[in-house]
This record gives sequence, structure tokens and C-alpha cells, in this order.
Amino acid sequence: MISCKLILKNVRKNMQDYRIYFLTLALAVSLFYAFNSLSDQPAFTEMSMTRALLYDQLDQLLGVLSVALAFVLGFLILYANQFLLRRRKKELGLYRLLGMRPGRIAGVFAAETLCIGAAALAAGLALGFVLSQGVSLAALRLFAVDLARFRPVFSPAALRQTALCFAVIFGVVMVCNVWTVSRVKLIDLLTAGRQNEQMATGRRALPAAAFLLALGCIGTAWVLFDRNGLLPSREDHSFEIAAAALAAGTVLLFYSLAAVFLRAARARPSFYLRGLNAFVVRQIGSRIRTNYRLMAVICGLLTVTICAVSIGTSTALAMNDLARSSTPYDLNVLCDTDRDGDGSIADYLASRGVPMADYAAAMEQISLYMADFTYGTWFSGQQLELWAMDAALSECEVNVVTVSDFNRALALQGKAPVTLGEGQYLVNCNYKGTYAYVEQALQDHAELTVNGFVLQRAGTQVLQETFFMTQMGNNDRSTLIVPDRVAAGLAKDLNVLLVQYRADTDPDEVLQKMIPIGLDDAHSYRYTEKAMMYDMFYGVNALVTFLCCYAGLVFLLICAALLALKQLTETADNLYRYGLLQKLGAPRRQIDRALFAQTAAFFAVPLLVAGLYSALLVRKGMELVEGFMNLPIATNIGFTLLLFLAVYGSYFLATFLSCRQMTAEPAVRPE
Amino acid sequence: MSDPILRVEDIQKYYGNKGSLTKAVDHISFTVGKGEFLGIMGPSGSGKTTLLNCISTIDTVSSGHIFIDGRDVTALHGGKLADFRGRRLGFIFQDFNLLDTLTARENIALALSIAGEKPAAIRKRVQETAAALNITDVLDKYPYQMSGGQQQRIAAARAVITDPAMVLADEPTGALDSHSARMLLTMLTELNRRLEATILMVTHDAFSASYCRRILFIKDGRLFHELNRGGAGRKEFFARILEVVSALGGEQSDLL
Repeated sequence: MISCKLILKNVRKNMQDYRIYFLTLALAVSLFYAFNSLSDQPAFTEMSMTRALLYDQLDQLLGVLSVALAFVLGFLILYANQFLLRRRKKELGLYRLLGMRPGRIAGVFAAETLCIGAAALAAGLALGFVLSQGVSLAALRLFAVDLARFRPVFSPAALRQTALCFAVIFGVVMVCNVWTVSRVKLIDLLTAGRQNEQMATGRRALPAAAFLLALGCIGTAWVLFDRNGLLPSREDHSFEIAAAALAAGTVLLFYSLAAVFLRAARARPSFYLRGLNAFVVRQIGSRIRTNYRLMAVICGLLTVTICAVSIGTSTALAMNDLARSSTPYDLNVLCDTDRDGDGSIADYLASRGVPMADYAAAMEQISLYMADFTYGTWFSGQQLELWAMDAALSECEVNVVTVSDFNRALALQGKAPVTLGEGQYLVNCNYKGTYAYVEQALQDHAELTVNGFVLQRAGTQVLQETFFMTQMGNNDRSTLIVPDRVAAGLAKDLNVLLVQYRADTDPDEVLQKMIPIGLDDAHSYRYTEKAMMYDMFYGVNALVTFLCCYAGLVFLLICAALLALKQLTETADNLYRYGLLQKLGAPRRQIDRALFAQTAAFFAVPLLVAGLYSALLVRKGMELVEGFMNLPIATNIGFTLLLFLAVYGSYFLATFLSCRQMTAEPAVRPE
Repeated sequence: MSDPILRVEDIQKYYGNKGSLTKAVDHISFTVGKGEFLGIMGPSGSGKTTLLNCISTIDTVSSGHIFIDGRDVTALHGGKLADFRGRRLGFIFQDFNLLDTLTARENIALALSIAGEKPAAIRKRVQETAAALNITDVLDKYPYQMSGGQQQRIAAARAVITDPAMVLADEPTGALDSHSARMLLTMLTELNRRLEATILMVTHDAFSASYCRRILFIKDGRLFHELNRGGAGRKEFFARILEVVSALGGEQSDLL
């Protein structure tokens, strides 16, 4: 079958054109696989509940990120496909001239892309397999899972996901190909190359008006963002309006930029007429004019990238702060009263060889009770939209604590006690998932019957204390604070020992002794330790930073690759112009300089605009960061920026060098 | 002209918009009989290539009809048009348009395999055509390993191998040196005489045109003059062509 031969030979011949495309695709696939295979790492299945929950969240985040990545990849493949179609118009025209039906031409072309895609997929999967082990190891460390349980694992699920994603993308590509090939006119295919760029001429008023409109749109977006901040709000649509204005403004800006740039350059003849400047300015102008959509998209992606990294790190910083407020004690030990009785936890610990009195500067034991009604009845009349992990909350009895226990807990933190009269109640809650419902429940129940006592609310404010530590941080999903005699008849749920260490206590020493107690399945004793929780939060911080940098890097890679491909392809289309310049006696150095200026402008313009946008958007983000900036994160930003510049810069350099090589070929001659 | 293979009926082709309208082809009609070797001459910009593009279905006409082998090609679209081009037309271009990923043999065979011929038949036909055109020894070379003249002969083989109703050649000698050009023209003449191939050649070169049997002169998109070689020798015909060309007022450089 000659088609097969044709396809294979074409692939081999066009390998140089495909090189950057192939590399980028393989890298993207490897990242795609590596992050999706995370969920199959067996070491993760042995994590504790809390960490498993966090890990589930990571899995969901990665899922969302992967969908975004898939879309961007699809776009990239479609785009590269358009490049190659254009680059080989004449060849395609010839196929049609020889009587090949459009469907079959599209098939040949799709099969070529498929060959490259399959090769990139295979290479990417191999690379991804290696990479995934590294990613898994990093993730295991972040989650403080025993690394000894790590095994290299091949994830069929991730493979399936990757393969499926690519199958869909290629399906779309083939449909687009058939459409393009059958729509384009044969005469245009055969005379391609002569008319491949639009000149930045035409009516003057239109670009000028578009430029002004673009500035107006961007200005509006700027003001809106400045006034309302970066977060979408449910009350109004100012975020959506600002985002839309920014997008429209960007497209218009690039649409009109070429004409404005050209006019500005021509207004200064001393510059315009020196050396090859006229040629360079014209080339840059026509390039921006022809590619304004691409430039706008890349500018958008770069903005997203820069913002994702900056805002990701600031989120991590915000979580640091949370870690501090959610660990008011050095150690908590919990036990279920239905399994281990209602004794003193300190006595039990002493019996297991942990003389807590020796370590503690102060400690208190408090009890949590179960009310005689559930959260479901308490919240009745409200439309509940609970987070996935709280789905069973409605069936649970409401937590109750006595006011004296609550005040002892506060005293241990050095806080003033709350006052509660006989026949009154208060509510404490510091969990975002339930806070709104708790607040509403407090409004709804001016009086509440607990264990047969009718209680009046002591205030309309929900308290937000962290009176004991849980493994997840600030998540008292809500506790009723009642007079002691009200709780007396209720069933006890938990006993909690709250401990503050002496200054000379070594937390690690205590922790080492606590581990066997926590692992003992015969008893329900479990503990939460400050240092451990800090580790967790730092883990989450690192994770968020990690994810944002990953997403950012992928986007950056794709932007740089697109620009490189575009520049290379168009230089190839314009080779005869460089040949002509050489024939006219332009020295090699001058031509190199012209090429450099063009490539630099092509890479720098979207980056500049994106940089301006990011400066605004990140400034708003930085307001969050201010106050708790610490060194490691700052270093992270610096390192990330460096990495970004390195990736972008090396793509730029590679592109310039390839272009130079192309124009230096002896075959370059006027058409 | 009892058996016309091509009938061009009052075709027009415009370019541009309402601001500036260019009539590249302006009410041209003619017929070509089976086995003819017709030349179309004219100075640059006279519309001769546009006319050929319209006939070869590469471009579409603005008005008028073109019948090839009795079929109105202006009414064909999509797959039917592709099939028609593949089976009934052969093309030779100034810049050869060979696929440089394929060997000469594969380039020639491509036209047949697209038309769905059986591999065994393809082999035989390629061999026969190559022998007739004296290119057997370069069949396994790639285009970049061949001279321009060889490449153009491969392109000619590709054009005739499907046994088309008509071979359309657009400045086939344009990129060749005079020796290769002469060889190609002799070959086209042979094709015309021995295989009775109908050939339509566009050229601005009087020497190339002198190999034709009949020549249509075009100026500003209109038919300007027609020359029949009749029984005249090539040299005598060449002299007559030159006369018409000077009458046309073509640029001096076009004579060489």
C-alpha cells in the first residue's frame, strides 16, 4: 500500500520540523502520566484517615489539572497540525492534483501526525514512568509516609487515561483535517508560500480605533480588579466582566499592535532607514499581525502561569498561618469512652511508661458529650450542601462540652473564660464547611432543649475557639457549650487530655513513646502533636507550591514550544527573502541581527504584556502574602522564576539558532 | 476537429473586488481535437496560466463552461472532481512538483495507485512508460539525486501514465537548460505522435512553442491570434511565431 510508504517517508523527512513538537508532546505526556499515576502508588493506601483525605483532595486537584492540561494539549496538537498543513500546502495540492480524494489526504496527514504522536506517546510514557517514581517519592515525603513502602509501580489507570485523552484529541484532529483539506482551494495550495502573510496595511482608522478600544478594555479590567480583588464573588459579576474585558482587550491589542508599531517606527526615518531596520520592522509587523490570535492566547497562558505560581505560593503561606492558629497545645491525647472507660488518660499513659507529669508544665482533661439530637435535626429547615467528607454529619449527634471544661481549655491557652448563666448555651465552631449552617442554627434557636433542659442562647455570636486539636486542624464542626448540670446526664463520647510541655521537654522523645500507644488496636487512644501537625501543614504548603509550579511549567513549556514552532515555520516560509537580502549584499552579521531582533520581538512581546498583567494581578495576590513572608518560600519564587526564564530562554535560543542555520543553507536563493 | 477532447465555451475569470477588477480571462472560446499538441502563448500577465489553471480544474471560472471528453468540469466538485483529475488529466509544472520523499518509480506509480490500480499492473505500466521515455536507469533515484531534465521527464511520465484525455503543461521548460529543454520537447512530441496524447502547453518561449502543431496567442485575457503549423518545418514555424510575437508587442526578453 503506497499510502503507508508515503506516510512513513513523510514522517522521516519532516522529522526536523516535528522535533520541537515531538519533544514538547513527549514532555507533556510524561507529566500527564506521572501525575495521574500518583493514585496507584501502593504506599498511599496505608496512610491514616486524615492524610488519606488530604491525598484524595490532591487526587481531585490533579484530576482538574489534568483535564485543563488535556485541553491545552489538544489545542497544541491542533495548532501544530495547522502549521504542518501550511508548511506543506504545495505537497497537499499535488496529492489533490493527482486525484486523491480530500478524505484520503486528510487520512495520510492524520496518520503522519499519529505516527509522531504515537512515538511521542511512547517516549513520553517511558519518561513519565521514570518521572512518576520521582513524583511519587516527593509526594510520599510531603505526606510523611514511610518511604520503605515505596515500590516502583506501573499504573494501568494512568496509561488508560493518557491513551484515552490522546485518542480523543486525535479524533478531533482528523475531523479538522478533513474539513481543512476539503475546504481549501487547490489554487491556493499550489501557489502557497507567495501569499502566506498579511501585510500590516489597510485602513488606518481601524487599527488605531482597535488600539484605543484595547487600551480602554484593559484599563476597565484593571480598575475592576483593583477595586474588587481577584476572587470571583457570588454577589455580582464584576470578576467575570473584568476577565472578559481583559481577554477582549488583549486580542484587540495584538490585533492593532502591528499597525501602531509600524507607524511609530516609520515616523522616525533616522531609525527606520538604517541597515535592515525597514525589513525587520516590516517582518515583525506582519508576523504580529498574522499571529495576533496566537499571541493573545500565549499572553493569556503566560499570565495564568505567572499568577498560578505566585498565588500558589501565597496560598501556601496563608496555610502556614492556619497551622499556627490550629495548634494551641503541644499534645492532645484522645480516647473513646465507650471503649476505654471514663478514666484518667494521664494515669493510663503513666501505666504505659509515659509519665506525662514529668513532661507537662500544665495539663487538663476535658470531656465531649453527645447531645440527644443530631446535627440533622439541629440544622433542620436549612438547605445543606456539606463537603464530601462530612456527608454523614446529619446522622451524628451534636457535640456538647461543659462550660467549665471549655474554660479550663481556654485557660490552658492563656485565654479569658466565657461566662454562661444557668439555663443558657453557646456554640463554638471553627470549620468552614459547617460555619454558615451553625450560624444560622444559632439564629433559628433562641432556645434549645438539651437533655430535657430548656436553654436560652447567651449570645448571637458563634465562638471560634480551637479548644482541642484534631488531626485536620481547625475543624470543630460545632460544639454546644452548656452548663455542667445539663451535660451530666448525657453520654460521654470522648475524653481529651490537653498538654502544654515544659520548656525543656523534647517533643520527639514524647512522640517516640506515644507511637506504640497510638498504634495499639486494642485501645482507642490516639494523639495529635504540634510538631507533627506542623509537618503536615508544611507538607500541604509544599504540595500547593509544587502543584502550581507543575501547572505553570507545563503551560510555559507549551507557550514556548508554540512560539518556537511558529517562528521556525515562518522563517522557513520566508527563506527566499533572506536569500534575496544576501544577494543584495547584506552581510551575514546584519542578517543574523535581523533574525535575532525578529525572534526576540516574537518571544518578548507576549511575555511583556503578560508580565504587565501579572504585575497587577499578583500585586493583589501579594496583599495576602504580606505579613507572613518567610525565606524558604521567597527562595521558591526565585528558583521558579529562574527555571521559567531558563525554559523560555532556551526555547528562544534554540529557535534563533535553528533559524540562523536555515538561512545559512546554500540552497537559500530567490524564488 | 471531428472529435473535440476539450471545448472551452466563453469563459471568464475575474480577480479582485469591486474596487479594482482584473479580468485575467475575458471571453475565451476554443476547441482542441484528440491527439493535438496545442501551445498557448502570450506575454507575462496575459492570462495564459490562469486559462490553463481553469482548464485543469486547479482554479474555478467566473463564468462559462469547459468540457473535457464531453464532461462539463465546471460542474464537478469534491470527490468526483478529484477522481476526474486523477483519471483524465495529467500535469507537468515548471518546478516539477515531485515528492522528494519518494523515488522516481514511486512518484510515477503514485498517480496509478491513487486511481486504485492493482500493484502488478502498476509495475508493468511504470516499466513500459519509463522505457518509452528513456528514464529506466534513474527509476530508483530520489528527485534530489537527479538533474532538472531527468526530474521533468519523471514528471512527464507521471503525467501520461494514467493514459489521460489530456496532458497540461505549464512552462515545462522554464527551469531547464537549453539541452534538457530540447530533450523534453522532443519527448513531448514523441508522446504526442506515438501515443496520440493530447497535449496543452503554456509557454512564453517561442522556441518551445515551435514544437507544437497549433498555437493560440493570448493578450490581455483575450484570444489574439492563432497559428497552424500545417506541413511547415519547425524552423519555419519558429520564424512565423516570432513574427506574431513582435506583433503582440511582447517584451524582447520573452523572445529568448
